[in-house]
Amino acid sequence: MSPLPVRVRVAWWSAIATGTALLAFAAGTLANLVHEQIEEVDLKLVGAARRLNAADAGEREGEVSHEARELEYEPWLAAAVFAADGRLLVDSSRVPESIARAAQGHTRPTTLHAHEGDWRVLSVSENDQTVVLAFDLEEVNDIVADLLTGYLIALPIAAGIAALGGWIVAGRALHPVRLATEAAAGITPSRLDQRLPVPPVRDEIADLARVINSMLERMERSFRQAERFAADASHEIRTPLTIIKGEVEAALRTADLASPIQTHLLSVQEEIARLQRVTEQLLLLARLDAGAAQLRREPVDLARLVRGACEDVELVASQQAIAVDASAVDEAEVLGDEEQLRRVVLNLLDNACKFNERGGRIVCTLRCARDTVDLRVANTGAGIPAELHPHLFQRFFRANAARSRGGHGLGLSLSREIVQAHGGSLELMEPGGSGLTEFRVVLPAKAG
Amino acid sequence: MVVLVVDDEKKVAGLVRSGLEEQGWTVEVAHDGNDALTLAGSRHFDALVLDIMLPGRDGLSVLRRLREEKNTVPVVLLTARGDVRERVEGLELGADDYLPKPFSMLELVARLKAVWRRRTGDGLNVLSYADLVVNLHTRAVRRGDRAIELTAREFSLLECLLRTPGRVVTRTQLYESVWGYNFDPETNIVDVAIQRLRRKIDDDSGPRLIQTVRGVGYALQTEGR
Repeated sequence: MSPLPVRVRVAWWSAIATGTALLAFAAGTLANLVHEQIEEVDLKLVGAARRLNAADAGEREGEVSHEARELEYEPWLAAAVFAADGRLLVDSSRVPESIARAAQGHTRPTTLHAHEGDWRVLSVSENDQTVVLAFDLEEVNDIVADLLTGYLIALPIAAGIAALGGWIVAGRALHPVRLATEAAAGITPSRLDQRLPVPPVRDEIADLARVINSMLERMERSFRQAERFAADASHEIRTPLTIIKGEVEAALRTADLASPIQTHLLSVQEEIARLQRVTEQLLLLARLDAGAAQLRREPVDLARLVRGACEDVELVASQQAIAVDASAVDEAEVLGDEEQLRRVVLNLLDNACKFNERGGRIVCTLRCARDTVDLRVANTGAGIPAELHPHLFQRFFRANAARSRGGHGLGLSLSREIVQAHGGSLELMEPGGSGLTEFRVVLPAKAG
Repeated sequence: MVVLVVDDEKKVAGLVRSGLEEQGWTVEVAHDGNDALTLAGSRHFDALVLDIMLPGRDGLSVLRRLREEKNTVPVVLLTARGDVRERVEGLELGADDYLPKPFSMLELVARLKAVWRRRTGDGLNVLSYADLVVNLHTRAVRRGDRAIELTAREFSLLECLLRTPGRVVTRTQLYESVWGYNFDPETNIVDVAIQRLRRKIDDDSGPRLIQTVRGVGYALQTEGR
């Protein structure tokens, strides 16, 4: 039953419970009714037997037979008299002879079944004669059958009503849960101050709402902290960077050409650029983590962006005699942040160049399906060993090869975060027959 | 040109001042928003370099106030990189351009010149050196009678060199202003791009203009200085 919704289960169990209770009640009342009716019949049979005894006390010949006839004024009651040798002295038109014969010897009221019907019989011996009293149970059976039919009709109706009631009650009971669900669905990183409504009564649902609310509060606090950290860190790091950068530029302007000081300053300038790049990426990651990155949502001509990035990377690739193939770049538009998407594409192409071999290839394809855009960047080269695959998107993860070729291991994890913030996915494809290492980015296409 | 620089970090303000003074410009410095408003109201400036994060009255509020007072002085905002909200708000309030921190003086000078050009009309859209003429607006490049086709990156590189003719621009500076931070700075992308640019600009056209300063960078200069 577990896969069914709560409302259906409640309705189902209400019906079962009500049905079972009604069934027990019906069985009880029916048994009681049968018992009472039979008791009444038995009273009549015993009463009739007493009258016969009284007649017998008069010791008048033929009195018993006469009295037996008298008894038949009572509807449903029949009497037959047998002689000691088994002859039928007094016949009754009401009771079949077979029943009357079978009834002899039953000195306590007993029910006999035959295809002529059910009879309650009692036999009384008087001198040499045996009087058989029989009561037709047809009427009793009819009453019981009517009641049974009534019950059989009422039971499914009652179970149905119970199911409906259960459904409605469960719906009303679950209403606060549904409200809470709706409220919870509306809580996004940008609306973290929202809380679930707590019902004014002290019940299980109010408790649940309270517990979830306090959890939300803790979450909001840590989100805000992360957000503030990113903002503070960015200011605190940028200001000194700006100063260092300016100082180095100013010093470079006055340094003598090709002097040792100039060489040192150039090296510092390079490192500042690198530090700046890492800082920007870390801060962007922190903001993405905190859900606080403000990504634009503007139409981006992805094809143009990809072609431009291919041109850039071709400059680097040409040094290694690596060919960049961007012939299969179709037109595609997405909604997003152009600057961040360019970061993703350049990162993938840059990697494809770094982990390539001399004289190798980079193949970049962009395809537009109905509602998704599929970008693939594939490269020749040694490929990525399978045991490294699970770590590829971890921060600061660098393959050994990458250590010797620069890079700081943030590129892929940042790219994935950016793509996910755009509602897309970034993954490494299983190596196919081509032997190329291939990364795939899927983004939702711009509608319309 | 008279420029007002507003930044609460005294060292940043000092650097900007000396960088702009090297251009032969006159520079005034204010360290908070209210001082900036007083100064801007008291005399004429050709441009304002305005930091957004200021104590007291912040940069955006200074800008709003200036525009309310119908002061149309060109403004370049210094923003935090990646803060889209600040940038958009600044431009909506009437800033002419923005520059994310940390920035290079080369970049700031270029932005100020561009803003100034836009204000004063088309004349300054054309930069030239020797027989090389570059129209920044139409992106047309000519060397003597010869029209030259450049890619977007090559054009940016050339523009970067043309801003400070005769002066060495380091490799890192070129990398930053042309490629931003998207590339691994350790690749030799700048050298390759310069080689290609040189092939288009300098091959079979008189004296070489793009000089390599070994180990440092490049300069736009006629040979044999």
